[in-house]
Amino acid sequence: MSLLSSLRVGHSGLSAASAGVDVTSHNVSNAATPGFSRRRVEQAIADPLRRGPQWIGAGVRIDGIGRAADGLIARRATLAAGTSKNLETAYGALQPIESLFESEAGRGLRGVVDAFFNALSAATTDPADRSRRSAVLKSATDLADTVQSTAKSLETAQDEQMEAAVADMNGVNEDLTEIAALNARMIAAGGPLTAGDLADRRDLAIRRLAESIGATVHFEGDGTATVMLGGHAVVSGAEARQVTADATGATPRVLVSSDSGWLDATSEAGGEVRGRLDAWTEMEGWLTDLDAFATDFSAALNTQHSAGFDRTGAAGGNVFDIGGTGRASVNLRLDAAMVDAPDALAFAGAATAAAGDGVNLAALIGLHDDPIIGGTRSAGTYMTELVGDVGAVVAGLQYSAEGAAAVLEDADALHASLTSVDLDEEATNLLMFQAAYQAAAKVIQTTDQMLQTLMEIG
Amino acid sequence: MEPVRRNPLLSAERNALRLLRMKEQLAKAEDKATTGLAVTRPSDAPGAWSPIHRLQQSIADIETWAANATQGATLVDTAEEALASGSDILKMVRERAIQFANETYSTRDRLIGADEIDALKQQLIDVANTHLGDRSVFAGTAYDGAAYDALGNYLGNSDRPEVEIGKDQRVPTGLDGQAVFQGAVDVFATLDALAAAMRADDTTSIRNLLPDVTTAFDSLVSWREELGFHQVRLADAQAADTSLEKLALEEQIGADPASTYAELMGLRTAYEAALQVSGTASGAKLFDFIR
Repeated sequence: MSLLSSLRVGHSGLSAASAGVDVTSHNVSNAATPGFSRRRVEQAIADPLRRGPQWIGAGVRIDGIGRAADGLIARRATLAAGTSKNLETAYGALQPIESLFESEAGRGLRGVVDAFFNALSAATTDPADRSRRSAVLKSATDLADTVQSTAKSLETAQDEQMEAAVADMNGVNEDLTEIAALNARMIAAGGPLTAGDLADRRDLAIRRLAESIGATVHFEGDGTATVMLGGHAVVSGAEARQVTADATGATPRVLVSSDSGWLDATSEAGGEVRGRLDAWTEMEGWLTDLDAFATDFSAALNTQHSAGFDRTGAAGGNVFDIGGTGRASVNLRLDAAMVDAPDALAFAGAATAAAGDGVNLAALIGLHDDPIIGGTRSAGTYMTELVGDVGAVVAGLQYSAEGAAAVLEDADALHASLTSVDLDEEATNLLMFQAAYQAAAKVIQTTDQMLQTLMEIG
Repeated sequence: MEPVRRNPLLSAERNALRLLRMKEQLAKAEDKATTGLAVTRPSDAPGAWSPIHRLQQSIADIETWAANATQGATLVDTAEEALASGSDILKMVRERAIQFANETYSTRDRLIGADEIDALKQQLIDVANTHLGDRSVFAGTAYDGAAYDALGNYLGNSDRPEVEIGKDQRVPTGLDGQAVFQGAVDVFATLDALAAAMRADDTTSIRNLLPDVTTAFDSLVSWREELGFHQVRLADAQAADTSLEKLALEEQIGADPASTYAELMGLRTAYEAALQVSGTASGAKLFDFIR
C-alpha cells in the first residue's frame, strides 16, 4: 500500500468523523424540535483495493445519514394520537355544559319542575290569594326560562363546535398540501432515506392530520405517503384533495373533494373533528329531549288549565307557549296573556269561580305524577333521566379520554425512546467522533511526515 | 437491544402535562373539601340522580305540605272555636226554651225571653260569619264574602276549600255554613219560631221546639268532632320531619370528611413530590461535564 493511499484512507476517516460531528450537531440542535427523528451516520467499510495478491483496506465510506424510525411504532402512536384527540375534544366540549342541567344537587332542570308543582300545592291554602298566584306564575316563568336558556346554550355550544371544525379544516388542508409537496420533493431528493428532514416534516404533518381528522397513511414503494380518510385518498403522490366541514344542513358533515364533486366522509372522520361531531350529536340528542319535554309538558298543562276557570269565571287559556320559528325548547315561555296576570290562572272547576274553588288546581297538581312526557314519563322523572344521561355520557368520555391519553403517552414514550435525541448519547458520540477525527488527523500527519522524509532523500 | 433513550427536554414537557393533571385533581379535591359535597354535577354520580332527586323532591314536598298545614290549621282552629261559641249560644237558647215552656212564667216574662232569643240568634249569625282576616270560615269556597246576611240567609256555597297536606291528601279548611247551621235542622228558623212562640205565649209550641234546639246543638258538636279529626291530621303534617330524608341525601351527595381530607393530603404530597422530582430529573447532562 502506498503512502498516498494512506493519505486517502486517513481522509476517509476525517470525512466520516466530520460527518459524525455534523450529524451529532444536527441532532443536538433539534433535540427539542417536535417530530425530529434522531440521525445517525451510516458508516461502512470502503471497498478494498487489490494490490497484487493483496486486498488493501480503503478506509471508511459513508453510505448515508440514517433516520431512526419505525413505521409500526410510528403508526401506533399516530392512531393513538387520533383516538386521544377525538375523546379529549368530545369531553372538552361536553364537560363545561353539563352544569346547565344540574349545577349542584337541587339546582337544575328537575329542581324547577318540582318548584313549579310545589308552588301549585302552596296555592291550595288560598287559591284566590294574588301573592300565591303570582308565585305560581314566577315558578312557571323560572321553569320556562331554565329550559329555554339550557336549550339556547346547547345550540350556542353546537355552533361553536361547528365553527371550530370549519376553521380546523384550514389547517387540515394546509397539512394535506404540505404532505403532497413533501412527497414531490422527496422523490426529487431520492427518497425518504436521503431526505430525512423532509420525512420528519411529513411525519409531523401526518400526526397533525391524525389528530385533526383521524387520517391514516400508508407508504408506497417510492417512499411517498398516501393519506387516507376512511376509503378516500386525500393525498396521493403530489396531489392533495380538499376537506371541508359543512354545518349548513340538518346535521354537520365532513366532505372530501373529488373529480365528481364533494364526497361525504363524515362516518370515516376521526380525531378532533370526530370529537366535535360526536359532541354535536350528543347535544342534538339532549336538545331533542328538551324539545319533547317542552312540547308535551306545555300541552298537558295547557289542556288541563283550559278545563278550569280564572278569577273572572272565564275558561282558562294557555299557560305556556312554544310558538315561533325554531325549537320548542328554545321557544318555551309563559303565554303572553299570563304575564303579570295572576287572576288569569284557572284554578276553579266551575265558572262561578268561587274564591276557594281549587278543583282545577288539584287537577294541575295531579299532573306532577302523570306520565305526560311521551306518554310514559312524569315531568320530574323525565328530567332526572336526562340529567343521568348527561352525567353518564360525560363521565364515560372522561374515563375513555384518560385511558386514551395513557395509551398515547405509552405509545409516544416508546416512539420517543427510539427516535428522540438523548443528549448524553450525543455527548458520547461527540467525544467519539472528536477522538476519531483526531486519530485520523494524526494518521494524515504521520503519513505526511513520512512523505516529507521521502522527499528529502536524494 | 436498543437502549431506552431519554430526552430531558421532551421529558420535561411530559412532566409538565402530568403536573397539570395532578393540579386538576388537587383542585377538585379542594372543592370537595371546602363545599363538603362530593356530587356537584351530573358526571359526579351518573347513576345516582334518581335517588338524589327523589329525596330532594320528598324534602321539598314535605316542607311545602307542612307550610300548607300550618296555614290550614289556623283556619280549622278558628272554625272549631267559632263552633264552640255556637254550642254555648245554643245551650243558652235551650235553657231559655226550657225555662219559658214552664207555665209558672208570665206572658211578660215570655216577651222578654223572645227578645233574648232574638239577641242570641244575632250572636249565632255573627258566629256563622266568623272571619279569619278577610276570609269567611263558614261560606264554603265563596269565602271572600260573608256567609250570612243579617236575617240569617245563606250567601255562601256548598263546596269546601281544601289544602294539600300530602300526596293525594287534602284537608277541608272551611265549612259549608248551610250544612252546619241549616243541615240537620235550620237553627235560625228554629230560633225565629221559638221567639214567635214566646211572643204568642204558646208554651206547647215552645216545648215542641225543644227537640230541634237539641238537634241543632248536637249537630254543632258533631261538626266540632270532625274538625278535631282534621286538626290532628294537620298537626301531624306540620310536625312531619325531614331529617331522615336529609340524612339519606347527605349520604348520597355529601363528601365524607375523613376520606376527603385523606385524599386531599395524599394528592398534595404526591404533587409536591412530583414537583421535586421534575426539578431534579431535568438536571445533570453529560454536556455539563465536557470541557
